[in-house]
Amino acid sequence: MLVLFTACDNDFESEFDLAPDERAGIAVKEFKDALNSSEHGWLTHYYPNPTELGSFSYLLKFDATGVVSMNWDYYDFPDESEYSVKMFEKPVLIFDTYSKFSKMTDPEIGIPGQGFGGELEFSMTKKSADGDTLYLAERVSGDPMVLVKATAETPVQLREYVKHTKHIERSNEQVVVPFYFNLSVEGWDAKVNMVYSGDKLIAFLNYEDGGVSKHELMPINFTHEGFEFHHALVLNGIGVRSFKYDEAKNQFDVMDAGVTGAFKYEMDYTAEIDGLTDKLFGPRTFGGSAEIISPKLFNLIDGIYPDSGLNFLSTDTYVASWFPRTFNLYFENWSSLDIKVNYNKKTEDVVVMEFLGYDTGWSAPFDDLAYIEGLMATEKGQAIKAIVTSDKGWTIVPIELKEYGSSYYLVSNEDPEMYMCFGLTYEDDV
Amino acid sequence: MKKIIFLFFSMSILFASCDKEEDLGKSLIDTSTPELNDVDEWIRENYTYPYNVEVKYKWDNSELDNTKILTPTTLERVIPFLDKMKGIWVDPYASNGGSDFMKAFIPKQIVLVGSHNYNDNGSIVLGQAEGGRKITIFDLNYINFDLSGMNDWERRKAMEPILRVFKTMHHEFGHILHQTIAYPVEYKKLTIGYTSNWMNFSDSDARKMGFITAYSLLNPDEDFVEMLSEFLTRSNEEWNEIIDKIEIYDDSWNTDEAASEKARGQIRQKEKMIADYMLQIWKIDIYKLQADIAEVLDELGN
Repeated sequence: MLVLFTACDNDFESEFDLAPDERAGIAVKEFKDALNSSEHGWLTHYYPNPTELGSFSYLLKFDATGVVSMNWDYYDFPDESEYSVKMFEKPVLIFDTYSKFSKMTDPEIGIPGQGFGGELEFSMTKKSADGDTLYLAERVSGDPMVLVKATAETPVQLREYVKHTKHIERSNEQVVVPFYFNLSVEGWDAKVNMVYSGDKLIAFLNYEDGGVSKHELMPINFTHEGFEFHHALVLNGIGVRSFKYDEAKNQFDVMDAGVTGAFKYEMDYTAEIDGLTDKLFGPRTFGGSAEIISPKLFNLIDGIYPDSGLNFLSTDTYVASWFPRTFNLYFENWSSLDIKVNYNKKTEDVVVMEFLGYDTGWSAPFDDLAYIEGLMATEKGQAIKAIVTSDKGWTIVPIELKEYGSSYYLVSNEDPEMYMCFGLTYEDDV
Repeated sequence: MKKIIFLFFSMSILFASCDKEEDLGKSLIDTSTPELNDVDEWIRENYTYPYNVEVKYKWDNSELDNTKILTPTTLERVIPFLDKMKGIWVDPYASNGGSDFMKAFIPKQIVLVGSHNYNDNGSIVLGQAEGGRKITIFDLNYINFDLSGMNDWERRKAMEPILRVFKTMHHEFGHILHQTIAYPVEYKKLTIGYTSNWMNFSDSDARKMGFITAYSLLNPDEDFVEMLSEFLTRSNEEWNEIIDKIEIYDDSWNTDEAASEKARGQIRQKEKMIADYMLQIWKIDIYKLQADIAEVLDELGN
C-alpha cells in the first residue's frame, strides 16, 4: 500500500522552474535574439579545416524572418541564405539553403567529393558579457566559429582583405627581389621564413630552433589591416600572431602587445630544409611544369624561338635509370626545346642542372639538332644555358610539400630575380 | 482472505485513479504555424494540399547520410525543379491514373539536396528511395531549366541532367508500384544473366542481352523499373529507335540477325508485359502516358 500511494503522488520537486520544452524554447529564442542583435551583422574568420586550410572571412547579418545576408572576403558577391535555429541536444544554428557559406561543405570544391571540411550547423557555446562576441562550435567536430559584432565600416574593410593576399603573393610587383619573406622578432634567436600558398590560405613556416630545422603549416586569415596566424607562433617564450601592412616599407609589422618585429622580404633564406633535392629531383620523381615565371627569367627566354613566344617551363626528372632527363622550354605553339640535363644534388635544397646536350623532338623544327644548336649558339641562347645550367644551381623554396603535386619555387643562385614556380597557377603573377 | 485483499487493492486503484480532475496547464506542444516564405507557400499549394506530400528543401542533416559531404539546395532552384517535376511526373500520372491513384502512391516525403552525392569510388548517387515513403533527390544545384539562347548541342547537354533526375523519379515510383502489386512472375524469366557486377557492362552490352540498361542487369525488379523509366522519359519514336538499333555482330563483324532480333524481341516482350501490367492493375495506358510526358519534355528542350 505504501508503494501504491507513493506511486500516485505526482507532486515531485523539479530542479527547474520551467518545463523542459519551455526551457528549450527560451534557449532557442536567446540564440536567435543574439544573432539578430547586431545592427551591422557579424564578422567571422571561419576555418573550415583548421589543420589544413586558412580561414574564409564572412560578414553575416541575420534578420528576424530567417534570412541571413552575407558577403565574404574572397571577392565581392553579396548573397543570402535561409537560416533557422533548432533544438537538438542544444540550440543549433543551421544554414538552410545554398549560399556562399555552403562553399565550406561543397563536395565540388577542395578535395573532390570531400570539400573543404566545414559544417553548416553550429551551436552557441557562450556569449561575451557585452554581447559583442558569440562563440559558436561546429555541431559535429566542435571546431570553433567566433562571431564578432561588425560595424558600419566592416563591409568596406572586408574588401581590403584581398589586397593583403596580393601583397603576400607579390602578384603586382614586376621585380620580386629580395625573395625571401622573413619574420624577425626582438627576443628571438632565429628568423622565420614564410612561403604562402594562396589556394589553401596557408603559410609554410621554416626556421632554425636550437640548430634544428623546423617546419610548420600555419593557416592564415586576412584582416583589413594585414593578416593573422591561426594560432600564435611561440619562440623563446614570445608569441606572435597578428601583422599589419606598412605600405611605406612594404612589410608586415607585428601587432601583438609588447612584441616588436616584422615580416620583410630579404636576400637570405634562413632555414635549409633537409631532403628537398632528393624529394623533388631524386630517383622516382616525375618533375612538373612552371607556369609562373619571374619577369626577368621570362624576358630572358622569350624570343629564343622566332616562331612562337614562351609559354611555360618544365622539368622531366623521371626515375633515375630513365634517360634522357630534360629541362624544357615550352612555346605557345606547343613545341618545346628540350635541354638534356642531370639533376644533381648540390645541397639539401639546391639542385644543379648539369648540361648534357639537347634532345630532339618528334616534329619540326625541334626534330633537327642543328637547328636547336643554332638557336642556343646565339647570345640569347648562351645566356639561357648559363642561367639554367649554372654551377651555383637553383634553390628550392617550398610552398607546400605533398606526397605528389608539391608546390615550390626554383630560385636561381646566379640571379635571384630569375625564378619559376612549380605547382601553382596564379594568373596575376605572370 | 486473499480474494478480499485483492478486491480492496483493486478498488483502491480505481478510486485513486478517479478521485480528482487535474489542471494540466497549457500545452507544451508548439502548434503555432511556422513562418512560410514564398517557396513554402508554393509547395503547400502544389504538393502538400493536393497530395499530402512534404517537400524538404532546407538543410536537415537527420534526413541524410551523415557520412556524406553534401550541400543544401539553392532557394531559387526549388520551385522551377518542383514545377517541372509536376509536369513530367506527377501531373501525367494523375491525368492517366487518376488523382486518387497519385494521392495514394506518391511518396509522402521528398527531400531535395543541392550537391552531388559522391560514393567512395567516385561514382555519384542520383536519388534514393526508402520504402515508397521518401525520395531523396541530389544534384539540384546543377540542373538548369532555362535553355534559352542555347544552341542544339548545349541544349542536349543541358537536358542530360534533367532527364537523368526525372528518370530517377520514374524509376523510384516504379518500385512503389510493383512493391504494392507485383508484376507477373513470368517477367523474371524473360531474360537470363542478372548479375551484381552490372557495372562491368555498358548500356550497349546490356541491350544485346535483352536488357534496356546496364543497371537492369542487377535483378528483375531493377530491370522492371529501368524499363518503365527509360520508356517514359523519351518519345515513342526515340524509344523505338533505341530498340531497332540493337545489333549484334558475329566474329567476322557481320550482323548476326537472329541474335539481334532475339535481343530486340526480349525487350519488346518486356515492354508488352509492362504495358499489360500497368493497364490491368493501374488502368494506365503507358503509351498515352509516354506521349503526355514527351510533350512536356519537348516543350522544355525547345
